[in-house]
Amino acid sequence: MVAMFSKTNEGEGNLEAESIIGKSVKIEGNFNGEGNIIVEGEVQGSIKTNKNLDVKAGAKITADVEAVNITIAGDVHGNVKCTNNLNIESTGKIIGDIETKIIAISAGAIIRGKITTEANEIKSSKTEKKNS
Amino acid sequence: MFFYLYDNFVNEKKYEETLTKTENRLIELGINGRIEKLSILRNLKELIEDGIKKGCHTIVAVGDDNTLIKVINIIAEHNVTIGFIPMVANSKLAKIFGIKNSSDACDILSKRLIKKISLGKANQNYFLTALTINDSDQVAIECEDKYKISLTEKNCSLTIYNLGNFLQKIDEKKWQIFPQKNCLSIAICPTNQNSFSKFFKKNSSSRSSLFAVKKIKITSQDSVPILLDEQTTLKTPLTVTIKPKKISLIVGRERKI
Repeated sequence: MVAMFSKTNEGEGNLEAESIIGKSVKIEGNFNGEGNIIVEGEVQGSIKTNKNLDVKAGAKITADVEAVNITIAGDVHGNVKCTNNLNIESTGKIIGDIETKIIAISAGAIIRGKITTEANEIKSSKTEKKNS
Repeated sequence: MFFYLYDNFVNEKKYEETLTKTENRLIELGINGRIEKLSILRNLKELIEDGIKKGCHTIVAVGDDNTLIKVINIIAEHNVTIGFIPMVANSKLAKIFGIKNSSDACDILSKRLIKKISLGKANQNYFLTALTINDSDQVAIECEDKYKISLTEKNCSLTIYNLGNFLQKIDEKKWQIFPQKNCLSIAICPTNQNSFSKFFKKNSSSRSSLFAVKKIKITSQDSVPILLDEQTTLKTPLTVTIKPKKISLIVGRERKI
């Protein structure tokens, strides 16, 4: 998935490389992307991207997720693999194991699972497969 | 050799003056060529294929957006360049391709700035701009054979864009969906909002969705109408893909793509 849209007004900034799973949409299956993904609706299956994943408050994910930088403000039932920075907001809830390089957890966030933080770079599942 | 295909309506009296000016300008520029006028009795496909057989390398649609789309649907399988002379003032495609009017189109043809453009394919039909489904809650959507999209709300519009959303109120909107490299863009918007832009304004409840995909299967229990390029209506089931080989189109410098 590649650059999707941007604002045309000057001064309002540009958004790039985004797929948006809106509140009115439910995804079932393996959602693999190459750009940023914003989730506001429901996802069942798996989400994987080589860029950033933003799970907004109210979003419900029943899936394993994998991305470079992840922000979670919604519900995630599944394992979270983050190759760089994981940010769990106060409304965020993760039921599953977490593997990340850097983690930031806001007060009020709910986590049920094992947290593994690695100082070294976390390898994405693609890289792991290649090496094995 | 240039091959000019005049749509049926161009023969009407009100276009006579514009057409004469256009023909004179083409002669001045030295890019006049074979002219064929479409009518109910003349088969567009046969005319174009005959032209290509006789060595025409550039096929120019003279008419409106519908003329260009009809021509593109036939030319898509051939290795020729496409030009467009809009004879109407409200041509949306002319705006996208940076063509101001018929006179400007002649100069653009002569300068021959070629842009490779991808085409969407819905079953056996090609589409240039977008495919629209109004009854989107009645269809099932499967993308890339990997995931299904279902709508949790009624009254959503579903549009699959090839060239972005340039055909929607160009001057009013704030947000722009750009053409994707080898991908189509799916936009799902609740229709109780008036325009795409409303969804993306700050502080608004952003409920619309956007995806870039290469293959989409659209099915439904009952047949649902699907509009291609605001012109042709097809019915489900549909498999929508992007044509692997791009077409060559002559465009102006002020094109939007």
